Amino acid sequence: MKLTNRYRDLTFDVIITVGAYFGIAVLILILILLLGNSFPALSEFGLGEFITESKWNPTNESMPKVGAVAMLACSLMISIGAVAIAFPIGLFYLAFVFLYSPKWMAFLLRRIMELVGGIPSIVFGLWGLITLVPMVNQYYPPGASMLSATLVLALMTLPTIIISVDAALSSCRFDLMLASNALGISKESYFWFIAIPQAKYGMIVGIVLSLTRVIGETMAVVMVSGNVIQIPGSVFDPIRTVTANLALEMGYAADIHRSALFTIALVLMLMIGTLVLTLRWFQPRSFKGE
Amino acid sequence: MTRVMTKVFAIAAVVICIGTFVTMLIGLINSGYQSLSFEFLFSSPRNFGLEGGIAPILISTSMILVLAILFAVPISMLTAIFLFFRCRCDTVQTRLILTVLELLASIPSIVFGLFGMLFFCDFLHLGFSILSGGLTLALMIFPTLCLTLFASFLTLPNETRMVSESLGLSRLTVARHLLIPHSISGIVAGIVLGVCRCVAETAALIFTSGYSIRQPRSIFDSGRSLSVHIYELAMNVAGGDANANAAALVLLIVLLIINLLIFAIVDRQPNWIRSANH
Repeated sequence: MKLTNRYRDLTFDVIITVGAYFGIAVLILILILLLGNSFPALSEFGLGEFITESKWNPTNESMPKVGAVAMLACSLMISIGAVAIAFPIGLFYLAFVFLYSPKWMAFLLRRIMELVGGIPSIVFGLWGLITLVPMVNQYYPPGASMLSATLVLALMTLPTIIISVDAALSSCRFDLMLASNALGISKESYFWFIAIPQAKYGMIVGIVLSLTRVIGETMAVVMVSGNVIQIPGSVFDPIRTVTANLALEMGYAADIHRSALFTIALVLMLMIGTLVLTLRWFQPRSFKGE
Repeated sequence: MTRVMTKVFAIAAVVICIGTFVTMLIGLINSGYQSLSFEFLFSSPRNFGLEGGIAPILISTSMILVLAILFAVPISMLTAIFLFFRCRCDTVQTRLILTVLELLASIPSIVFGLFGMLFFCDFLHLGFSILSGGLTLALMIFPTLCLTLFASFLTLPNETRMVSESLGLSRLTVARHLLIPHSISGIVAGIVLGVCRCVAETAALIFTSGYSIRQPRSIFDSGRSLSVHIYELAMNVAGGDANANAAALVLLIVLLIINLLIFAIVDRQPNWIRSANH
C-alpha cells in the first residue's frame, strides 16, 4: 500500500476543501431564499413596519398590517425570563455537585442532567399542556400564558445551562483550589469568589448560547403559550412568539402573508446571528475544543 | 452565613430539579402506559390516531432518520477533517468556516424547516416527502456534528501528528489510519447525539415531510414522524391526549436507549471499537 502519494493528497485536499465550504454555501443559500421570498412584503411595507408596528393582520384586504413587535417582544421576554429562572437554579445545582456531593452522586447528578437534556421539546410541551396549563388555569385562567411558556422553557433550558456552566467551572485552575485550601478558605467561598470569577467567560458563552436555543424554540411554546398576538399586560396573558407564529400560519399562508412570514423568520435569524457574532467577537483568540 | 445559605439553596435547587423531572416522568408514564401495548407499536393508526397504533409512523421516523444521518455524516466528516488539518494555522479561512458553523448551529429549527420547504419541496420538486425531511434534518444536524467531530479529532496527540508529518504520510493516510481510528469513540458519540436530535425534532419536519399517516411506500412519499404525531394528537385531535402520551413514552424510551448507548461508548474507553478498526 502506498502511503505517501502526493497526487492523491492533492485530490483529497480538493475534496475536503469543497466539503469545508459546504457550510458556507448552505448559509448563503438560506439567506438568499429567505430574502428572495420576503422581498414582496419588504418592498410593500418596508422593514420599518415590521420592527415598529405591533399589529399583525396580513390577510386584511384593505389595511394589511405586518407588525412583528409584539411577537418579537414576547420571544425575547420569555427567553430572557426562562434563562433568568434557570440560571440561578442551575448554579446552585452545580454548587451542590461541586461542594457537597460524594463522587458517585456528582456523577449521577451530571448524568441525570445529560439525560434530561435529551428530552425532546415536544415532550416538554405535552407535559406543559396536560399538567402545567391546567394547574395555572385553576388560579389565573386561561392558563395557557406567558407564565406557562416561561416555566416550560426554563425547565427545558436548565440542562443546557447546567452542562455548559459545569464545563466552564470544571476548567478552573486546580492550583488555585489547593492554594485556597492551604489558606483555610472555605469551599463555599472558593466556589463563589474564586471559581466563578475565573469561569465567567465560559459561563456567559453558555448562557447566551442557551438563550439563542430558547428564542428558536417552537413546539413547546406553541403548545403552552395560548397563541394570541399581543403585548401581554401581565404574565397570565396568552402570547404568541415569532417561532410559534411561523409554525401556526405557514401551513395556510399565501402571497403577501407568506412573504411577511418569511420576513419575520429573517428578522429572527438576524437577531440570533447578531447575538452569536457578538459573542464570537469577544471570544479570546483560541479555538473551541482547546 | 455564606456557608449555610449556599448549602440550603444548593439542596433546594437539587430537590426542585430532580423533583420536577421525576414528577414529569411519572405523570407521562401514568397517563401513557394504559395505551401502550404490543398492539400499539405494530398496528396502523385509525380515526386520526385516536385508535390503533403507530407502526407506519415508526417506519417513517426511521426512514427520515437514516436519510438524515446518511447525508450528514460524510459531509461533516470532510469539514471536520479539513478543520483538523488547517486549525493550527489560524487563518481567515478556518475562522470563517468555524464562525459559519456556529451561526448555522444557532439557526432555529423552524427556520431550517422553512428553508427545507422552499429548497427541497418547491425548488427541487421533492414535495412533502420523507426525502425532503431527511435532507432538512441532515442540514440541521450538520454544524453540530462537524464541531463535535472536530473536537474529537483534536484529541489526537500532537506527537502522533508530528511523527506522521515527519514521515511524509499523505493526508489521506493520516485521516484514514490515524485520525478516524483514534477518535472513533468520539465520532460514534457525535453521530448518536445527532440521531437524538433528529428523533426529537418536530418543527423542521412539519413543513418538509408532511402529516400523512399512511404506510410510506418509498422515500418520495409523505410520512409523519413520531414527534409530529405527538404534536398533532395533542393539539389538533380532540381527545388525543392518551395516545399522545403513549407516543411520547415510546419516544422517551427510544431516546433513553440511545442515551445509554452513548454512555457505554464514551465512558468506558472503547477498546473493542479500536481493536475492531486496527
